[in-house]
Amino acid sequence: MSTHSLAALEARVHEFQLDNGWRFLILPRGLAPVTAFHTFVAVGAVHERPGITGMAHMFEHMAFKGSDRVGTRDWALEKVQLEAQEKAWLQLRATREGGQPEAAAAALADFERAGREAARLVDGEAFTRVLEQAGGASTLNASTSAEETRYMVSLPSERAELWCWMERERFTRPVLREFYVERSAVQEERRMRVDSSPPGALYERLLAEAFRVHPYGRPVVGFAPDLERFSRSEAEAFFREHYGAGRMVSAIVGAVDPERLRPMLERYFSDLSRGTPACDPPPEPEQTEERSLKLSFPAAPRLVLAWKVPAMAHPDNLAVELAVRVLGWGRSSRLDRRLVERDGTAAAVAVGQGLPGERWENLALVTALPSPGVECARLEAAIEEELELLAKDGPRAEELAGVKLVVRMELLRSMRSSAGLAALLCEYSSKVGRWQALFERVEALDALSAADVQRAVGRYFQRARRTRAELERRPKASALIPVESAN
Amino acid sequence: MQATVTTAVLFVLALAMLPCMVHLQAQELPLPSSPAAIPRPSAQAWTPPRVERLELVKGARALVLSDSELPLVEGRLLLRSGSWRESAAEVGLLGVLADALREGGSERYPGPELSRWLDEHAALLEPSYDGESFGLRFVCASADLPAVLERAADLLAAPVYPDKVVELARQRALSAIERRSDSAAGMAERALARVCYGATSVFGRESSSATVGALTREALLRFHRANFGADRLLLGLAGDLSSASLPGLLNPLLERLPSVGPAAALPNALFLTPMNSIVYVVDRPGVPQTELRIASPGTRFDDPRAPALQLWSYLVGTGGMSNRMLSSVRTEQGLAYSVGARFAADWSVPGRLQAWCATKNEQCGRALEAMIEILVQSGTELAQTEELEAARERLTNTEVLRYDTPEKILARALDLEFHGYPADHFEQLSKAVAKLGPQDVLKAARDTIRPLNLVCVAVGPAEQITASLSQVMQTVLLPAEATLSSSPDALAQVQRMLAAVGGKQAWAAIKGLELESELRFAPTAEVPEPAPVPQHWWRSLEEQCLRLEWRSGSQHMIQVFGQGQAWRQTPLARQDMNGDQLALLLRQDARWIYRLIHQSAAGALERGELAVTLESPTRLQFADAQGELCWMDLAQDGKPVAVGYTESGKSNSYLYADWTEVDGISYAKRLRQEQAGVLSDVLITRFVPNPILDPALFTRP
Repeated sequence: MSTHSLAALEARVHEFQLDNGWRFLILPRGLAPVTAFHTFVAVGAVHERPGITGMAHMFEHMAFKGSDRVGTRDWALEKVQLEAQEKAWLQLRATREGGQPEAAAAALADFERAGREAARLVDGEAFTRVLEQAGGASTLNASTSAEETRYMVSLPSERAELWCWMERERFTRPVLREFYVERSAVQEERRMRVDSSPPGALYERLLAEAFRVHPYGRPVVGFAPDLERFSRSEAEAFFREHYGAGRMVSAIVGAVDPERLRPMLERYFSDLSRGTPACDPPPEPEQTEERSLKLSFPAAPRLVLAWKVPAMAHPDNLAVELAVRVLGWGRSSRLDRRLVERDGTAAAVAVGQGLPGERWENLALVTALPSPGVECARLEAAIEEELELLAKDGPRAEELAGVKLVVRMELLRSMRSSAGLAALLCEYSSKVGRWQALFERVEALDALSAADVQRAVGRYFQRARRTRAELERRPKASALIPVESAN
Repeated sequence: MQATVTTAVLFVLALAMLPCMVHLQAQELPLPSSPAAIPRPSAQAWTPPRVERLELVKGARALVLSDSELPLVEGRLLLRSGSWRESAAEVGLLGVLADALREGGSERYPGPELSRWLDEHAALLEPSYDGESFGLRFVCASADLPAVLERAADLLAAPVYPDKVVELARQRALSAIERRSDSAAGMAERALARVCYGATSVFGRESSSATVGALTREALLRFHRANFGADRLLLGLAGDLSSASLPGLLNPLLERLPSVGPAAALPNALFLTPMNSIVYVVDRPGVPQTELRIASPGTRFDDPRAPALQLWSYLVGTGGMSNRMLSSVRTEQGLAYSVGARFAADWSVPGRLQAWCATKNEQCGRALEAMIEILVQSGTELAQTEELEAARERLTNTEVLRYDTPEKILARALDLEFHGYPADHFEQLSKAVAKLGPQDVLKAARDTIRPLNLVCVAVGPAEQITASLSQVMQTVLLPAEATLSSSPDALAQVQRMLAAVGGKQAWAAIKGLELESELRFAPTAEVPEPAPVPQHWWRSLEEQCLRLEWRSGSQHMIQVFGQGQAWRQTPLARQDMNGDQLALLLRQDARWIYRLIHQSAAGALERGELAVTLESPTRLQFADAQGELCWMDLAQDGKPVAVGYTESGKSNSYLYADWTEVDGISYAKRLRQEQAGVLSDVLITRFVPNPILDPALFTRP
């Protein structure tokens, strides 16, 4: 049943690539005259160098600040003030790092004065205002991961040309105004997502432990000292280095006519430079023994077990996904039945895969929340027992059939919204190189046997590939000390 | 300038030639110089797909939206039986019931088999609930719809609730209670509801280890049987299905369900506004960020002010990034990442205005001040026309995006049907928003935002943030949990006190009191011989309900509060009291000596609804979920001799004497009270334990 519907959808995808490498995927569909626009840029936290962690995410924030003609009251004057502010920041940074408190105080005054002057020339939120007033108020957004940055908005379909104009403006002439104030907002984002959040804080430590060389070990939001230090000029350099058309793919899904849209896309995006291709980050040396960490935090205990598993494009990726689902997806999964339903030792169990990214070897993980009074070690032993059983006997036929169907159904469900479908098309096009892989994945499911899943468990879910992270309750505590930047 | 003219001329020429050139030489056309110069085709005429309404047997209804692009069906089955209808002693019941119902399954489809079948068919069938409704949400392949509906109906008609499953569900609920302080935002929302509506209100109360711990299988079954009937059921279905076959499929299933009659009316959600703005500080040590909330009373969706308040929301704090709150607090000042405000209207009860942000501890006072300034300004200064138009465009141009999936269309239709709103509600709302001017928005904001009566909550390390917040407004330390703990030595003193006034068992059995008394103010130069004022009281001790009648001169006066309402009746008129007056009365009532005695005897200290500590060997300090209550001094024999508290800088004390026995309990015949410097004496002339308290005594005529 689902294959027929998927084939019908697949047949409606129009694809073309500009000479500069920018790929477009257009899929006409929808109940209402609206269109979802998604752009994936193959740049993320892994492309940062030590010392500027968080920069890819920071630039994502700056991509809403406008250009030399959107967001300014007087660009010529503003440009001068921005340069003065940047000079003052670099001076302030140098005096602070040089241990010159008096000079730092003077530099701080210069920096703040220049910031105030520049702020007077800003037409605040002008860029977002245009898209929001056009109908994008509830959908205009962006996100950054370890390996890509996504920009998305849904608009009434007749505003397609407005999207083209704004997207071109964003990527051809961005002005990183209000950089240092926004950097403060990003610091708050870090406090919210990591420093004040039990799962966020544990996850950051887990990644740092699991990936000691590969930049997957660094947080997307950035280390606190880097967020305090990096500059606008470094952000501009990051943009010039990484934001080329060759790294971009856009999906446009909704009430659009591909034949009419294509000339418009060519007109707006053909003259952008290709840019430099993304470099592969240094590989993580093979993990040969188990790693472990404990984090003391004022919160209820939790346990995370994570194993290194292959990248999205690897032939074993799908078998690993099925293994993870047999283990912990749904109420009849092995871990749920045992820990939550039978023993009552866990309040909840969750599984995940593809963290923090999927282009390179990444993590599959099990998170367990122990019931009151239950030691994490007890949960750990039970999880390992279930893994051993799965490695020894493989999944039962009905289990395997069930999780295969679940993968199909989840795919179908995520396609119900145009925005969801646009994101999937971009993701497969960007990460695997072919958007068709999204649909081929469903076919590949049929070919997988219980033995494939069993083999994947035995190969990847070994103790030596595992990192264990435990959060233990700290009743009264002072603020956490952030993990130091790796530079 | 020359370049601009040239571009403009070229652009005009290009536009003139557009029909013949656009396809052939598109790449050579110059691009528009600004968003305003982009040609904007007219919007496509469009009508949302029709949602069909079906009348089913036993008064059940269904809304159906067919869409066959993908072979899926999503649905919701709603029953008018939410957590606001739990009894006070069973708060948290629906969470345990939902979990145990799904895990335990039905007679025909026991839980493990049900889960296995659903997982093998990649289908979901999950319970959910909110204040007003309990529901089952499902997603499945369209071919599996009959089997999923059959299983859903069987869950409602013949649930099992096995003992072991109930016990595990209870344990999971207790674990969730333990974990709910892991989220600062969650803590802030819970604390806000508690201080806005009161810890005993259905809108502000929360589950505790005591209420969840006491839940039994019988309690779940009782609630299930009393509430889950076909006559309260509304079903929504969207996806690859035909409505024509549905009655034949659904009616036999519904026949198996009982009819349970209409749901009881919801109590009034009266917002307890403080006399002066207060920031309640909830301690969350060890984190670098403080979560802030500000609240003010809101409206229902059908309130005439709702359109103006919705537009206000887009102007001030929601709908994207170009609202005032985000522009100022985040973009200009860098104080927060997450910040906003909105009037959260509700369908059946008034919602509330809410503003929020999370900011580093050191600057929480500054952030709170910045947010308040924006709120206050919105009620004192007219918005510029351009700014208001921008807000209106953000609101209205997003409307079409609320209909871009079958599920969104169905969800809106279900909301309207479930809450009895007209089908064209959103259309009328859009029309009303289109007509609003700056004056309308200003007036709506001025009528609802009271800058001196804001309720604020700050969740962060109290030691670090209280000083900064005190610069902005009065701070009160609020317990993180409504469930409190007492010190053992104080509990021992309470036991001694209870024994001295008649015993724990006797006072626990006292559900209400009727008193007659004479109030006599102290003589003054103006009134050297004040006349006694006869008073007649009826007070429920199980709920906070009071009726007081007295004579003032020749006039008969009545004052009543309870169940979210308060009013005063004079011979000339009846005057409804507002939230801040009720808040004051409820707080005074919570400190009343006989309420404290009854609650202590009835297990409120053990359940954590009250807490007591020992300030000195003879002084007890009581607190509840809304902070400190009062102190109580005990005599050597254990009887209370005085109760007191300080409010708004003024002290109030009550001295008790002549303890007298009636029906096995003791009461003080004489009371001397000093309220904010005013002295008076009260003589109790009649004290009746457990009188017949007709509900009509506390019901608004």
